[in-house]
Amino acid sequence: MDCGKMQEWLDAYVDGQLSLTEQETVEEHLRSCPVCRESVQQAVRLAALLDSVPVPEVPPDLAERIRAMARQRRRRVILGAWWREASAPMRAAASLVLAVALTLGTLMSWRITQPSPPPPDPLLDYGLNSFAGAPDGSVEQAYLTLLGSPPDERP
Amino acid sequence: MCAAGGGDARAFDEVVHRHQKPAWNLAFRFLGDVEVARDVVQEAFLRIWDAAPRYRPTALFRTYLFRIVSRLCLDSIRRKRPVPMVQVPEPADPNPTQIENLVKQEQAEAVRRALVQLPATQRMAVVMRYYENCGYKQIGDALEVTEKAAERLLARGRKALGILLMEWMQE
Repeated sequence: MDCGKMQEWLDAYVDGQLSLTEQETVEEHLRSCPVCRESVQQAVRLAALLDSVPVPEVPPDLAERIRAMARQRRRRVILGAWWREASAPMRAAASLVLAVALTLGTLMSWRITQPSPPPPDPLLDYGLNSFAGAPDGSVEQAYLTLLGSPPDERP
Repeated sequence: MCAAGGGDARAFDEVVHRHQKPAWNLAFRFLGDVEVARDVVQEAFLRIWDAAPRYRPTALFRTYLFRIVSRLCLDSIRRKRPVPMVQVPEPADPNPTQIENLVKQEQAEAVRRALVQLPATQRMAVVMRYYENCGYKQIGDALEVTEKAAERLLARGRKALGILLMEWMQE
């Protein structure tokens, strides 16, 4: 076999991808061909060079992180699977419960966060501007005080 | 793996324990970045976990694993994530000289730089062949190309490395 054809086999020979018969053919050629022998030597030197590069150890927490994330994914899948397999009435009931819970929660938080209404201002509410300048202790002031108190506190 | 497909989490843990090292070696050798390699390996095993119910042992599990890892590595490169030069601590040598260590480090750095310069698929073929002892068929399966195409990728990668690392290849 000539060197041109042999070159195609040399890579496979170096990679250990030839059959026994093919290997013997290559080795017989190499015995008499310094050029092809040098090609093989180059390939061997390259392999040694590549092998000289160290690789860091596997991060010690890698397996644990994978384990934890796999568990999380499985919980989500189980919930999804339950939903897919549930009957229509079950899904409707679950949706209703969720909707009621969300609504109640929203309302309760709305009431808590709502500011208390400002005390009534009789001058604004009833247009009693003419009473604005009335002195303390006057009937007008007493009337304004009465109108400004909450209804359940009025006598 | 079949047990993991049935939801057996402990079986999956065993799969991770047995195969995390080759997955890590492949990802790190290709990417050269500890954080990115960790993300890739993590995602590879999670995808295996998600697909476990559908897994059928039609080939070696390692082939399946390498296909997923190599796909994620190639996707990572396509997203143009930078591949920094990593200073990896040299393994302990009982009688090192300072000059020898320096030469070794420079050599290792030259190899990493040369690998990074290869086109992604050639780089993956070289990494799989030289570091994981994969044959052409396994490389082809992982890269989803024919055996012949895998052989050609390897030949081109080897030739390019021979040129890039010429000064280190002299006896």
